[in-house]
Amino acid sequence: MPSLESVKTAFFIAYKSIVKGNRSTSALLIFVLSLSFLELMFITGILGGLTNGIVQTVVNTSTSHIEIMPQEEPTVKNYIEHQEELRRDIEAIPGVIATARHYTLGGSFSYDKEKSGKFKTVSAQIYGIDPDQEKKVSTIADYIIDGKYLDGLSTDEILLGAGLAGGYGLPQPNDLGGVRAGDKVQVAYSNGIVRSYTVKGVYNVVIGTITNAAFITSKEADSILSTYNEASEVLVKVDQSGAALDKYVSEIKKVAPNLVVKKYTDIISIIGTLLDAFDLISYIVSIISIVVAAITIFVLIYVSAVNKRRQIGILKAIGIKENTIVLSYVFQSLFYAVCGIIVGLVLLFGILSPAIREHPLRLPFGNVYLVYTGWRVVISVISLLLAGFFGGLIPARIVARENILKAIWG
Amino acid sequence: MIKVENLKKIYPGKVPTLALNGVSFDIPKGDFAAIMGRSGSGKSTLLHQLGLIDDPTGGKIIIDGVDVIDLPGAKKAEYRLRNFGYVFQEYALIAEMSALENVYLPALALEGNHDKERAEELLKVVGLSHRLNHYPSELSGGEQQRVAIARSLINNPKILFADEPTANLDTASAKMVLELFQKLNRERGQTIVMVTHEPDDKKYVSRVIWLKDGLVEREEKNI
Repeated sequence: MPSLESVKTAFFIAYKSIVKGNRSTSALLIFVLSLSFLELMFITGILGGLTNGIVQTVVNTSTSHIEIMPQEEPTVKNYIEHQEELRRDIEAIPGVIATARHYTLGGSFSYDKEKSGKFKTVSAQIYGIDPDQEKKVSTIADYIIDGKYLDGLSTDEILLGAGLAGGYGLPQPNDLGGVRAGDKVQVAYSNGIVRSYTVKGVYNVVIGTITNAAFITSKEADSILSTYNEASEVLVKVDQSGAALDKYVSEIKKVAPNLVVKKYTDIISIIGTLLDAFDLISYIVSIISIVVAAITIFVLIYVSAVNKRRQIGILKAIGIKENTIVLSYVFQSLFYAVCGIIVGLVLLFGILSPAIREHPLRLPFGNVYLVYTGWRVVISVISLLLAGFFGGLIPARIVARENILKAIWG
Repeated sequence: MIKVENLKKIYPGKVPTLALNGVSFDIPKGDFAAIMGRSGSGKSTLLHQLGLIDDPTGGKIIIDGVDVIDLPGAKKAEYRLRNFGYVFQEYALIAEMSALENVYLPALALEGNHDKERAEELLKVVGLSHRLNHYPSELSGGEQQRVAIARSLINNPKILFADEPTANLDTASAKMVLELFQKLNRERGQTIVMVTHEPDDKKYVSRVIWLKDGLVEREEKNI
């Protein structure tokens, strides 16, 4: 542990070295470090934005924030009963924006594109929805690429995902071969009922499996399933996400103690693999950026220390401790790292982030912005400070260890 | 004050060089001693061992009863800071610091204070009170050497070591530096050990230790 005298002396030597040192070299070092920090933050931010975009798309089109499923214990039930009353109770919970029920059905789609009697058949999941209510929890209606969204009570119309309809350029191995709005499709449900529908519209959601599904009205689903006021699942949209979701889950469980209540984060485990890959990429890029920054500092501090070998020798000869000299170089490198971080933060939050907010990356599932969490910024700052610390410490120790006479006279 | 016993220094290499071959002498407190001899006689090597900036191969250096050779590395640095002052042949100032800052740097390291008052006083003693805020590049060789002398005195050292302090100076500057040493020795009782190759410098010192081939050839006292 260095003494106070040692810290003061090291600080003074570092201060004089920076103030009277070569300003071009200092500016270059700060610039390089700010770019390293910017790279670190940009990659992290853009991957954060991608992750956020993907998760939001899945939440908005498939899961909403919370999903309620039928009772599993003590006996398994196929449907949630009295869904209307249940939804009314849930919507009374403060912070709940809207709810919507779904029926989920399995069916086999048949489509005769050429009207030649040759049907192409594909199995898919079908959701029975209340279209107006669905719009309050889902943005599927915004993804219509052909035709229109479902009407409230129609029983002879169906909405198809582009992956199921086919012909929209999606790489699907099994689709209906190019169904368009207005075409007729036949659906054989798993309970044996067969219905014919006019395709009201086709939607295209790039992320998730919803693009391979279809939607009918819940009225039509009720007639197929012989149900009334029931649901296979109830989606709940709330005004917050993340940690606060736990609060909503516990509130909903009070209303429906026998039902299964899950947060979207528990449901999207399939996407989790993709998100984990993004995280891994982010960490790898971060480590590379930090190593590059540390090497940059190392090289410049080493060159500086070697050029000042004689000065280091003189300092040691007049009684300045080796650790004090090393500390002075650590102070210098930390100063450059802090300046690099400040310049990097100004460039990031002053220029780059607003620019990308104005001109986001436009991807098929939506716009991608730079997204940061507070801890990620803190981690990046700490990482670069550590790079500065070790980038200064190691070369200074190498040079400061040299014999005094060798250092002074070579 | 300084007792040197059988001091040896061998520089390793393919052919090891015997620089000091068992040097022994005493320097009492308050002496102004010159170490003289021909080039290669070992006088600078001896000063480096005495000043603890190099490690001897054998022997003892006892200062005020303490065998300083046995001090561990960090303690040696602190001992140097607390007890020794150095004046090198080549001015040896820190280029990024002003004359004043160069002078108070050892005090900062020892006490943690920017002792500007004492530094100013010492710069006045060496005749540079008008050059306090000048940087080494703005000072002549003689002025830089006087700043180095002021720096060497900031921590009230027991011993001031000077390694050919006038070698790079013109005659007038050299005379000024030697007279300054003499004044410090006479008026303050400062113990000074100086290496010089100039025979004329003898007149300023109270004792001359002549070295030849790494051994003390003879000692002279100037009364």
